[in-house]
Amino acid sequence: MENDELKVAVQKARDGDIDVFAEVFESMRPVVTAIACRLVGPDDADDVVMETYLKAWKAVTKFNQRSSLKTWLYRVTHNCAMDFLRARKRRQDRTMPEDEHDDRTIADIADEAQATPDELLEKSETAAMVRAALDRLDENHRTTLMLRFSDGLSYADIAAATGVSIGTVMSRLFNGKRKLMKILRS
Amino acid sequence: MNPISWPDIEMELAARQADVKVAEADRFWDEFRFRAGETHQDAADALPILVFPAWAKAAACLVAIIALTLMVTIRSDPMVAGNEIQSLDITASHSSVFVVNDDETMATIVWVSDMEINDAKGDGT
Repeated sequence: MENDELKVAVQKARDGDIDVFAEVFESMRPVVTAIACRLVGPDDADDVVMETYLKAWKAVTKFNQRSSLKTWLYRVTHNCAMDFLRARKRRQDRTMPEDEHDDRTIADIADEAQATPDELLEKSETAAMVRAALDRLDENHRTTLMLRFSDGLSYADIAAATGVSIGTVMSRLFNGKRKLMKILRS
Repeated sequence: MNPISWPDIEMELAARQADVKVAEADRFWDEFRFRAGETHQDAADALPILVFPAWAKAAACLVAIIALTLMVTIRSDPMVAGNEIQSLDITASHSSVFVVNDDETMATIVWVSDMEINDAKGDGT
């Protein structure tokens, strides 16, 4: 959609045209789903995407068109994901008094990753090791690496999706790569 | 086993895009329309209207009055005011008095001619 066309469409969405809203925002749904998936996990991603779109629908009236629409939507996604994670943590705190410390080794996780017959069939040893190493990375580094290399987002989009600056994204990518390599070589 | 290189890792990361399952469009938008129908869009941001409370208005007036007073006081030249003779009372006998104001040097000269010092009462002025 051209820029002027997009502005008109956004204006219509602001005026309450839900069909135009759907038309404009549908193209961004795969990336929004990917962001939600990385931030809250695949099981809850759909809920976060729906919340994101409902929030965007409500707030599109306030979208001032100074930033890009997709950047704005990725920020909304990030906010919804954070709300979701906070709510989930509250629920977990009520049911699980204390988190168990994960002191598994990389080999243990790799073994677990290979434990199911389906995975053994479809994953190579390298793939399993990389997955296991990714699981050992901290949340921020893993999310940033995956948004970049799995979902192909730009630095600016990752920054909006994770609520940090572009500089932080670059630093997380650099350190994430370094840590991942270190885990895999240990 | 050979050490895993970064390109291998990138390939594996790229393969994980398959983890993302985008909900089917019709189902998603049907649910969205239903739920959006239950909510209202936020009101667009309007220009803020400044409403001042009564105490703020009173305080502003007070500040304005004080400022005006200070401006008037500061503007009036104390030298000029001090040198201006409002009244003159010479108790000693004399023939004439000249009061000369020099605006340029902001000076006032009082010239009393033929004054008899011995006739003066008090301090003689």
